[in-house]
Amino acid sequence: MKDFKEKLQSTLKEEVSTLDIKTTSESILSSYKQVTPKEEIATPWYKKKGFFFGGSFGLASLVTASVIVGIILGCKPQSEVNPLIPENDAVMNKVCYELFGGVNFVNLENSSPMSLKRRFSKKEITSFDEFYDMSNYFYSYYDLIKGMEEYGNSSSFYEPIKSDKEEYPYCILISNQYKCYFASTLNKDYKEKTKGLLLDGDNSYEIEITTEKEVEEDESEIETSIKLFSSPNSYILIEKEAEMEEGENELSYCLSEYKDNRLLNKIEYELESEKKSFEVNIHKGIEKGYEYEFGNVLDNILNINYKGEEDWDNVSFDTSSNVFSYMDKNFSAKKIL
Amino acid sequence: MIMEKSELTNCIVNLKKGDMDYFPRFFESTKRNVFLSAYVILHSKEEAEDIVNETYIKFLETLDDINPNKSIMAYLATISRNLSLNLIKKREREVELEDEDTRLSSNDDYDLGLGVFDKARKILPSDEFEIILLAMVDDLKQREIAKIMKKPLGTISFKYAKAIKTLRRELQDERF
Repeated sequence: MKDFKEKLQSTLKEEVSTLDIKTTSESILSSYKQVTPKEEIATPWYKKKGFFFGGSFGLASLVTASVIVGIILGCKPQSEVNPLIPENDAVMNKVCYELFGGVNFVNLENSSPMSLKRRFSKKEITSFDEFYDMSNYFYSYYDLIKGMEEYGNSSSFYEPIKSDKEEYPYCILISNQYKCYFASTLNKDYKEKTKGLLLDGDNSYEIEITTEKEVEEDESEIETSIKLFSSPNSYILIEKEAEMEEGENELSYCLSEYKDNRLLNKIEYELESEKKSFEVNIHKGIEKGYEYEFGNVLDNILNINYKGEEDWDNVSFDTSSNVFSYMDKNFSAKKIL
Repeated sequence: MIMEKSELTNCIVNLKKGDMDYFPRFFESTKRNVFLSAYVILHSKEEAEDIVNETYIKFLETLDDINPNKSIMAYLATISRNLSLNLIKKREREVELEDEDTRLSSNDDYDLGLGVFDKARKILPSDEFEIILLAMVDDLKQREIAKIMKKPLGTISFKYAKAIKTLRRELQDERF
């Protein structure tokens, strides 16, 4: 795969280099030097507030990915002599796919614009614009979840690499971006805890993983709990349950952010393969005694409910026609394109 | 000839000082990327050329605001893309960029006369093709692409992986 990507990139770059562009630098400079009205200039994206990545919250998802890979590792006994993980292992691919989705799920949260996050600091939504922004916020999660389901889990998201840390014999590279070490495999049918290390550039984060697996004739259940520590009392807790029974899959996922042992935010997501429905609940401002709870997707209609101080409001989004329908507190419908 | 990142940065620093002698080389090194950012949305060589002109004028107008240490390619791609989208809105033409099933027309009139490039354009949905170009031709990171396209990082990651998988399958007989 890597060889194909490299060849593709090389070919595309070579072909593009032959493109004949008629516009010249002289014509541009000439136009620029002419007196023109000062038009509204778009703020460069990197100057806009809100595009902020990093932080332990986002990294927790990466930890999840590494942890789940640990579960995969557990499915195949690893040789003490050669701790390398096999490539393109079907079971590992499946888990890495879910993990990678989880990683991006949290990255999405971490990348939400600060202006939008500030909206959640208010006790209630007081304007249509706020409600629309928050609906789009939820829709971005739906977009990710939809992508996860539609893409499937057939591609490889991980690459086993040799560990360069003696205390962590297992190491993988997730999506060519994140390096994750772990101390042992999770291949036993009882609760056990393992520890690992996640690297993101110059930063390293300790991780703690607990897993429990039950496998019977026609069904299996895996419960995973991961903690990513940014400090002894501040961490991200990820809890995942995956049940597989006679071809039916159920997945529930909960990510909670704790600061100084206080719960700040929580994201919950459930997926049932049979019902093809998603239910995502995003709880914000938990400390302040209120929360926003978002709804579900069924039959291509995304329903969003939010609760501010008192009333629930509802917006639905028809994914087939890209139309928002908004019901205000007086239950009058408005369409937003 | 495409400049290295350090050379691009050096160009920006000097352009910010008002030394326009650096512009021609900077333009030659980046014009094709800007063109493609517009072309993938507008499907028209002529309109994409217009956007190239507008993009660099806007770039020059905002030189004072540009941080030379940030990705200039991402900045140019953002300008080009936004101008292209504005042009479409002005014409009140609906382009379903959000729809995964949308494909650039397979009409050969849209071909640029580039082998694998044109094939990939016909194979992939427009948003996936745009991601491939930004990642493989502009060498942008997925996070940068997510910001440019205003999509979640996870969506970009999945679409990129899906696009690679599709191209690998469809171009397996292609001799690179």
